Amino acid sequence: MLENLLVVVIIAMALLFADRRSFARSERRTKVLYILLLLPASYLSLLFILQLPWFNIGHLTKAMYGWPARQIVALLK
Amino acid sequence: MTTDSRKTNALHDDITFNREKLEGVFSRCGDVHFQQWNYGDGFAFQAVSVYCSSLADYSSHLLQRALEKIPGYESEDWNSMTPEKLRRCLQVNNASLQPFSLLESFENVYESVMHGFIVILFDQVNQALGFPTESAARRQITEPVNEPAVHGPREGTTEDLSLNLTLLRSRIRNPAFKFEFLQSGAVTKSAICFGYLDEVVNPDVLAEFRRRVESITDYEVLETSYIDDWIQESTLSPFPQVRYTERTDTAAAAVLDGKIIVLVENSPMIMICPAFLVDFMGTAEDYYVRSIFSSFIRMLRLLAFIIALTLPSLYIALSTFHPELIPTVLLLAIVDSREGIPFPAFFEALVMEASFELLREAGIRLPRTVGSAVSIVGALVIGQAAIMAKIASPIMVIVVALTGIASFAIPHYDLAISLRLLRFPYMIAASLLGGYGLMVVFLLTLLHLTSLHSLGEPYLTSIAPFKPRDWRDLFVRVPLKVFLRSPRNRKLLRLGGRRPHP
Amino acid sequence: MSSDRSTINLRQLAGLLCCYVIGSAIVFIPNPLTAAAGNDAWISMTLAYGFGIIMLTCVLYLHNRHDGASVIAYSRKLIGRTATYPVGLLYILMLFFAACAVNASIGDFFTSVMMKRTPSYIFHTIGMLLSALTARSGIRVMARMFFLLLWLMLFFSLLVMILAIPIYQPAMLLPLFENGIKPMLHGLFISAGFPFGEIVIFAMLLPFVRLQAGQSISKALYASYSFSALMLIVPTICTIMAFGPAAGYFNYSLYRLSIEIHIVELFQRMEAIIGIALILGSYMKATLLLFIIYQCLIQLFNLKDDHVLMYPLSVTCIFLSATMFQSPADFQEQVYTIWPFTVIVVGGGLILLFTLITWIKHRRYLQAERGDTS
Repeated sequence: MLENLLVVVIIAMALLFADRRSFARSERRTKVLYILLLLPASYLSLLFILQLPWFNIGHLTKAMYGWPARQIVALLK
Repeated sequence: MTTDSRKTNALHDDITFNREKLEGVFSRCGDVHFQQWNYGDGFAFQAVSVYCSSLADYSSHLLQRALEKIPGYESEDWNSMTPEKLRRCLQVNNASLQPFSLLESFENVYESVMHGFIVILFDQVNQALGFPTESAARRQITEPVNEPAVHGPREGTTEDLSLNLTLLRSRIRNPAFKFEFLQSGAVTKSAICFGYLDEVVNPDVLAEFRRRVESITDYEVLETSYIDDWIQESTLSPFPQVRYTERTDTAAAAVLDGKIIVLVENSPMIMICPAFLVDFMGTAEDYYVRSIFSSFIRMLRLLAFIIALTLPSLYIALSTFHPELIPTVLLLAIVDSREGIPFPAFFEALVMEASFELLREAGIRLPRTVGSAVSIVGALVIGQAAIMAKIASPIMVIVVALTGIASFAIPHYDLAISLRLLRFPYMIAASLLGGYGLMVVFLLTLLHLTSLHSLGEPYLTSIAPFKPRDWRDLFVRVPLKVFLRSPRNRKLLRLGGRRPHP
Repeated sequence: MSSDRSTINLRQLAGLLCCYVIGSAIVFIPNPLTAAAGNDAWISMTLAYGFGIIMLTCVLYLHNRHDGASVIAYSRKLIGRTATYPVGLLYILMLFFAACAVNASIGDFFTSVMMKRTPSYIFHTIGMLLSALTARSGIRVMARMFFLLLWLMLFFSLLVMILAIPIYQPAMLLPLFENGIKPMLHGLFISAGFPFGEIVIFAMLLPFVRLQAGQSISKALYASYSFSALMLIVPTICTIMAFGPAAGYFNYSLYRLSIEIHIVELFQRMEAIIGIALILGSYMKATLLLFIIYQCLIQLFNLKDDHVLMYPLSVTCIFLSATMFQSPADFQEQVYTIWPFTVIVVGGGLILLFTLITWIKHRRYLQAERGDTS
């Protein structure tokens, strides 16, 4: 857990360092989208640090396309 | 300059005033001399010659002869000249005063004196005459030390700009070969000259170059590399974006190729821009020897490039992460020789590389007499003793030596030092992640090279964007018969007003 | 032209298509197919190639009919601005999955076969960082670089396939349709999703090409696509010939093939070189996908193209790659069951819908013209 935390911290620092100037200079809409993109990133980094099997893209796609996909495969098996 | 300051800067009628002002400006310049002389009926009228003895040759008879001609315009001679007649003469015969130039302001006088002119001021005349005599003794034309050739001309450039231009002009005797001059620096006023072949150079590149170089006129340019520093796209890149040469044949070939050459007064280095990665792998000598041989040499240089960049890191990656890739017998030999070495391969490589670099730097700075002793000592110390002390293994010494030799085989020093620099990130990456690490730094290098531009043109021209046509002069050198049928040569023939033979 | 930074020429586009299709597929194909379809895997792939050609035709039709506008642009025209948002977001979700799946698979490859003791997040992070840096440099740089890397990758794949000739047994290709037609259809389903159907995603890159007089984008792309298909079908055949029924068992087929090469003491155990060369393909694909996500985002939300969003995007992708697959079985299900469905039904369906609407609109326009003039 500790090394995962370290990795997340390093990545966050790198992101901050690389983007602080360009973020400040960008348009308002870009800034909003930037923050919005950081939300799933933060959530996922939490999953990564604590190795939690919580809701992820797999669950989302399975919820959306799971049943028909499995039906088709069952048909073809 | 405003009219007022122009007025105050203009030469006075009164020679005493002029002389005092000049003496004030040139005070403590021990090499600037003032010589008074008189002319006219009974030597009634005064004149003063001002010159800088370090730059001008006052004893030249040419000045005397030229001075004799001036009264001749008024059908007189110096014994019967008066200031009014002189004034009239100067006004009327403006153009035919050659080689004298007419100076009207103090600024002009300072500049002329500092450029080796002899300036003559006359009493009651508010203009001065300047006679060019620059004759400072400069270095003779010798073979360039850093670019020796077995076959081919041995003419190298010197610090004298006009001599360099003479050498270049005598290679390309075509009015399409243009030379443009810039003056840079408020204090040094050094002349910068850039040359190109008019129909052959890429107009976008030329425009970009002009745009970048015009702002350098505010700075004191002491050497051609100042301009390189000014116009290069990426200062942090380890790769050189311009080429240097002291050979006039290399420069002439570059001009014919559509490149721009830059010269600066008091520097023998000719800067060739734009320079691409592929330009660094060829030399002028490639074209003077047989094509089979130069093709072979070019491929050898490519091998040298790869070895110089990757051999130590390859060794580290293979011995630490992928020993299965090494043939078994060699692997056993490596393992055997690494027996008892307390350090991991990376540390060993680092120590050996660092010692080699120190040795190289020491060899450059030492006086010639001691230099050879250093290499012998270095070979003994680094090689033998390190092995016996179990600091390094024999294989490592071979790897480091091969890497060093390979980097010397690369013809251009700038590229060789960039590879020296890049070796270390490669070694670090290989020690951390083996083959994957090597691939990552290779991709990063490739990314950097692909996004690098030299005067707006991609640095990896001919490789990426991929132009198979150019490859015939890249890793091989096709015979001249094939080469001379190329579009570039046809263009050059058209420029010279000729059609190619069928 | 050096001044114009955002367009590529036709040859570069064709090269990118090759990189995109062959990309990560060369590492994984044909394992999932041979597991599903046995000896008929190559037939599945050929039919899937046919499906891909149909999709490519639709994509090119849309590209030509809408004068080179991007997918988001003509989606706005065809189904309206409000409907484009959810469709766009659906598309982006698909892309996130694709990009992160490719990135995650690179990590899985290295941690399972070459560097077993390195934690996989190293590969996810470094891989995505590389992709982010490359994508950030713009499409011209990407096109130039990938053209070179493509040849490198193809060279090594061909080298493996040629050097493995001594171990091929053509008899292993038979019998065909051993268990009926269903396994072949299953294989078709999988390969129509990955890699052939993904052409619908590549459609986002078509607007970047700048054509010269007389050049035909269709010819170049069909040729390039067919070449890529060949470069995927041939390894399938080679693997089946080499391993027979066991082909479905080995996870990274071409890599496994290279392990089997034993020609003179020098050319053995070369799989490390092959592994690294193959991974170049995955890197290229991940980079292209990242670039496409970025383009989708800025076009959907009308943002300025100043590469600011590239880094947070890649950070999201890093953590997604690291957490999306809980187990190899989860990987199998998501990539070989859910993903093909997503590509075929959602991606392919969208493109077909757009094609249909465009075609109807065009016909109505032609009828109206005829009606006006008559």
